[in-house]
Amino acid sequence: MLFDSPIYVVFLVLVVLAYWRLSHRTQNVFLLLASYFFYGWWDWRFLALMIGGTAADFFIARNLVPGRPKSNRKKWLVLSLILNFTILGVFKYFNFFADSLAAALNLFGIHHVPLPLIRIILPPGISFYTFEEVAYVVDVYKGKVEPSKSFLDYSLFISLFPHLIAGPIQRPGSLLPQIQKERSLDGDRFFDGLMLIFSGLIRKCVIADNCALLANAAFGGQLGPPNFWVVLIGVWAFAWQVYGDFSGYTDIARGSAQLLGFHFVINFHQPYLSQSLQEFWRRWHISLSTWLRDYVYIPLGGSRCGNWNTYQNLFITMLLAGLWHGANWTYVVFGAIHGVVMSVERFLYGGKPSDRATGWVVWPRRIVTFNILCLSFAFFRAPSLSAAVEFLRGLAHFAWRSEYLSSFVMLSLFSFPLFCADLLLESSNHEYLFAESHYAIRTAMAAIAIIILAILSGTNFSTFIYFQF
Amino acid sequence: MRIYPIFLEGTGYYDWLYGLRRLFRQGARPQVVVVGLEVNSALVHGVWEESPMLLLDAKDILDVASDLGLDHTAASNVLLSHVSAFWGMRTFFRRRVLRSLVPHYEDLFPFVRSDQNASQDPELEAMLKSRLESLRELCAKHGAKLMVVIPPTPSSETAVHRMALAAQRAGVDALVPIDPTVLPESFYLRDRVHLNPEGAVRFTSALADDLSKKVVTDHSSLTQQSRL
Repeated sequence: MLFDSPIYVVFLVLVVLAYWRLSHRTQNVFLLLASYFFYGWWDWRFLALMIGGTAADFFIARNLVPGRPKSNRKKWLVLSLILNFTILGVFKYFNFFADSLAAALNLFGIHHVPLPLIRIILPPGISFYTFEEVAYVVDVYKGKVEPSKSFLDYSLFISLFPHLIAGPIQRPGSLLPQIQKERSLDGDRFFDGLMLIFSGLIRKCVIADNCALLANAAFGGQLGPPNFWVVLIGVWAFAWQVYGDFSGYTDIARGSAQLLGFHFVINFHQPYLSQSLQEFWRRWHISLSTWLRDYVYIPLGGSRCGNWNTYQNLFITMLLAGLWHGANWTYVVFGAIHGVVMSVERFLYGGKPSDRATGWVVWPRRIVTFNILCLSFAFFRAPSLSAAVEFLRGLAHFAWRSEYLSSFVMLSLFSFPLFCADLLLESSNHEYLFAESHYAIRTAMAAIAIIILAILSGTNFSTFIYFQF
Repeated sequence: MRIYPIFLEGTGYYDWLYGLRRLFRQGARPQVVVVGLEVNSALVHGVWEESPMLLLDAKDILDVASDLGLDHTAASNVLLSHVSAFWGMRTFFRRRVLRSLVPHYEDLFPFVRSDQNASQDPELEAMLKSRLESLRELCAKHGAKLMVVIPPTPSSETAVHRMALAAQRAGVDALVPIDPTVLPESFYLRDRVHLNPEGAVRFTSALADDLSKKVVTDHSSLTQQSRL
């Protein structure tokens, strides 16, 4: 069930209407069933995998509480990590590694090795809920959270439908207490939730889907062979597409959660106003970058063991971040580029946490950072490494065609409003535009959003990019 | 002889399979059905975005979902497009708005692109034969004879002949008013799919000749048979 489809609106309205008439325990049972229905809407068979993983981690976590013998606890933790990453590895990465091994053997002249390839459909959201399960067992092991006494509560923590498919990745310390406590209907927060949903729909259906037309045309060769202008159109359009798409998804997820009385962490904080890639990752997909910081970067040693180790840890973390996005070398290279650039930035800025400049240098740095990011997006968007390299090679040619002007006009038409919105949000520090305005103004904004959605969103439903991760 | 023309741009095989089913169900009993299908449209695996509203019945939605392997979300969108004319035509509206906002929008995103070249498919004949057979059987079941008009496309010159061959094997009369191999590119629009005004004049007069020869002849013979 896609967040921008009419069936989701029907589903959400029915769930919200029924939900607030129930008592706390019944609300949780109802939400769990609704979430399983939401997930099973894709394919009921995926449910078994998710429920199985949930049950395993729930019972393993009971053996991880600090009072138990440390060696036993460690064994259970390792068992859980192996289980979770094996499931993720088989469903998401098995064929990728098998293919890569076959290609590597080919290089050494070893051909026709009968490596098993399995036909597997990637279960939606597996990367997201696996990371939540891992966060839970690690946090219980470290004594940061109490293991949940209720299987119902823990299952709901994993499967609550607004975050189930593409996050934001929830931490047990934040969401579990909200599930365990009674929730009350707060009119202001409910209204904010609705406004977030409208904001998300505009970002996804108007900005992302229209920028996608340009990005697809540039990367698909419909604007002609790649040259400097086609590459610019392609990477800029894709940058705004992926931002509109994922931040739109997040707004709808957070808004939906707020209608149910939950609060999800903020996942985007005007990322394209970053002055460095380090800052970008503090503003982009925040729930993933903080997860990687807490469960990969810091356990590797973080910045505690000298500069070179810090660069190495950064590089490994970003490499894994790239691989998390998909089973393709393009994502690995995307992560590697970010790892290298972030290490260079750290070297240049001397590892100071405040890498934000002030004064005239702010905008040049923002522009440079945005364009480095865009070039790395060529690897994120292209179907293969060779396609990405071929596309970027076009930067050396400058032949102009009249269609490019139309493309830039269209790109500005859809990206500039989001850019302006980000500038306003940056200065106001609000969650959405006009968040502090009177209800009447916000209602008028919602009405305008509906009109814009009606006029400028098409029927070419494209699934959210991050659903595939 | 009475002629009932239905002009719908962008339609493909599934649109006409379900569109004809609906027309027959509603009591239409033509003697001859002439369907214009460009090769790529005949191969396309989907329905045109306005079809649910214009060509499908509500009861067809489940069959469409099953034939096209749609998931629940896509099927519910087809259903909503059937119920709501606005929903079904949103892409059309958006295109109109963008055309007025973006200069030369049509050059940027032509309605149909010449690179939609499904006709490279080696299984082309087999798929076309089976699809044309389905249409022929549907028409025959309701007492109508099927003819298919195959317009020229420069991106699939050989494909037009392969489609004509597939039609012959499926027992369907195929009209190829203009051989695409002899039609220069100067007769096409920039999208390299649609004919320009000169090309359209050529095509239309050739089609008129073919139709009057083929359909009128067939119509008179069918009428005579029915009198006998």
